[in-house]
Amino acid sequence: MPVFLAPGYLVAAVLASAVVTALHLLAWRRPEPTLLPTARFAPSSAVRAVSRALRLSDVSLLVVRVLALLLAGAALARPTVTPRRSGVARVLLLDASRRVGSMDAVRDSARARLAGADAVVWVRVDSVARLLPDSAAGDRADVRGSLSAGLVAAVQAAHRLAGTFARVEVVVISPFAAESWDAATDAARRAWPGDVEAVRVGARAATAGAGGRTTRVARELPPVDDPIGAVFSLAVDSTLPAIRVRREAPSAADSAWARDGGVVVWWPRAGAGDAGHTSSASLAMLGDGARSAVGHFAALPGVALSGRAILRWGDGAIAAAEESLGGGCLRVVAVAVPDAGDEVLRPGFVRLARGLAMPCGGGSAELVDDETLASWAVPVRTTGDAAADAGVATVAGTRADETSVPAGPSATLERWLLAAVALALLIEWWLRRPRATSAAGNDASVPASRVAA
Amino acid sequence: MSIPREYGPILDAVRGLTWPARRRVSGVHTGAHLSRLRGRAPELSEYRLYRQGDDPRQLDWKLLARSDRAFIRLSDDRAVHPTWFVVDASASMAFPLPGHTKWRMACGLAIGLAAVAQRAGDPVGAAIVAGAGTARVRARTRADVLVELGSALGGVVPSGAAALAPALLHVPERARLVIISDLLGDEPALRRAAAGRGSTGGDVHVLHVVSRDELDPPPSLALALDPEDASIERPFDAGARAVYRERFAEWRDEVARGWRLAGATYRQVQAEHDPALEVRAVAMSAAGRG
Repeated sequence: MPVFLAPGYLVAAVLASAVVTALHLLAWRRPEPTLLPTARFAPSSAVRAVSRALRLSDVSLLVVRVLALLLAGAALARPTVTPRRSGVARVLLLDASRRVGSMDAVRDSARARLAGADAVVWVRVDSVARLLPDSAAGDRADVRGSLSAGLVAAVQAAHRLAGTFARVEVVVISPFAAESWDAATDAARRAWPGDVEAVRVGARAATAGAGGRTTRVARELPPVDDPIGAVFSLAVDSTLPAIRVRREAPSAADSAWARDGGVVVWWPRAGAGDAGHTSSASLAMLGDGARSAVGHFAALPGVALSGRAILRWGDGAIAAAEESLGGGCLRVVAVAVPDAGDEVLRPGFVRLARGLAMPCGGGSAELVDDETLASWAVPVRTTGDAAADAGVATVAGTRADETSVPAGPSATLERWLLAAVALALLIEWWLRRPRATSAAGNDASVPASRVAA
Repeated sequence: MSIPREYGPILDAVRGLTWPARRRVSGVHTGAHLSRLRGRAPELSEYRLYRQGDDPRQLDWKLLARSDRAFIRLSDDRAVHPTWFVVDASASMAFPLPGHTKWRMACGLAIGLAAVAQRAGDPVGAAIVAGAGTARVRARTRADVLVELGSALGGVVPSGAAALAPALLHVPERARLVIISDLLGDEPALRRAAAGRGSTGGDVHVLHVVSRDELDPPPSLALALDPEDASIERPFDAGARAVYRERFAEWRDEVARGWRLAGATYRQVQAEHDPALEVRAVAMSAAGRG
């Protein structure tokens, strides 16, 4: 069924057709002149007068003109044709990141939702998303998951299916770990205006590193008279994985320990030739706006920072970086802290230190709460604008809503309509021609030289 | 060359018809019409007392012997009466379309009356006045004058607007003048030009040709256009139609009255009638007066 994206033009065409019809009814008409030698005896009066009997003149010409106007209005109104759709399609997004407790649980949850679907699209996501040819999701990956990437792929697949199927459902099967959730997750979800079914599976506890083989609770911290030792002793608790904080360059044993799944933090001491403290500097933990500190800190020169930046200065310069080592990681912090004073013991700095003690890869043990998940699953409200919502697909989660195809204007249909307009105008011109020539010369009553224009 | 075939029925219908002059003619050539002159024709008309100066050879000696009184024999002479036709060939005569019935009636009247006059031995001439010019047929008594007249009428297409009055200048004063026209042109001037002929012995016949569609325009007529004057355009609704009929009738009555007062014989001829019957009516009406 055609839908007009700019119906105003069609309305204008209808109004114009009404005006043309009215003109055909009320047109001033000059009667056909006939020769009469004794015409002088008739009283003289106005020759042109509106016909008192309202009747349509030139019905065929009127029909052609109205048709041309309506076709032109339809062509300018940007018609679209919505193809027929039927059936139910389902997009299953399977989380295979390191926080998934058991892939069997994921697969079982997915298989439970195959019933009633005429077509199923499988999407696996760990740190990246990819479409699967079948239900073989594979093993869990030892990387941090990205629901944003998975949702983007799932929504793309869902939009493709919406062109063919009447209902498209999106199901996300994941433990919904907080580490898999970022600022883009909401935006990716909103790209799909219908319901998204969130199926939570068991989560695995957060581990220190990718390998997850070691879950040591042991800590090796500098002595508490060292400001770094003091702050870490305040920041680290039993919920955090094993950590070693070194003030000197890490040893081979430290590297082996990190490969084994531990977190090694190397916080060099400030040297004699260091820049010293600035009057005031701010530090911010990447990816966590709540962890920031302001104090008399300075950058340590000569410290090579390689790997992923995890701490930045207020001007954006990297203050600390994380490098993966086997199952764990090495974090290098190039921040000089004052030897005296209590700046390192302030709550902001303690939180920064706690962040440096988190599992490698920015991992978090937290899960997205059920309330957030519930609100995240409800459909996106449409704007109410028919043109804007013409391409919005609605998904039947628990409701049986029909979907509409994200269709654009049909260029082919517009061309055909414009061709029909041209043909109608040609017919209109052809219909008008005999009336002009007959008035000039074909009328037996009036010689051609006598007919007024 | 012969008379066009279309005039055959008219010529057959008027065979044997006579068309005497309305009054005694003044011609000197012997003809069919009573002459003003009293002569020695065998046909005795009256006796008159002999007066001094009369021709003694006209004395009726036998009556003198019987009555002892001198009478002379008088008899009517007969003379020819030249007949001239002035035929209106203006655009108004080409009506109604497509048959041009008025023009065909005019041609039939001219040919029929010309045949009657020619058979009576009268010279027949014609002036066919059209917008493009006047076609003249020289007056002759020979039979081929009808052929020439027929050819001249056939060669004219009614068109334009031309005055008929100047054509009368070429018509002898004492001739019989037959005006065949719808009188929609220069009728007043024509009447004035023809008015004096009666007093000089001339004989004027006016055959006013009108069409049925002029008397009663068809209902489909919505806008009337004068073929001789493009500025005359008249719409025809119910009210205009009634006014038209009234005005046209008044004009026809006025014209008839004017011509009769001028001494002419006026007759209105409807174009859709039989030309032969009209010719017969004209000839016999003249015979009735004569």
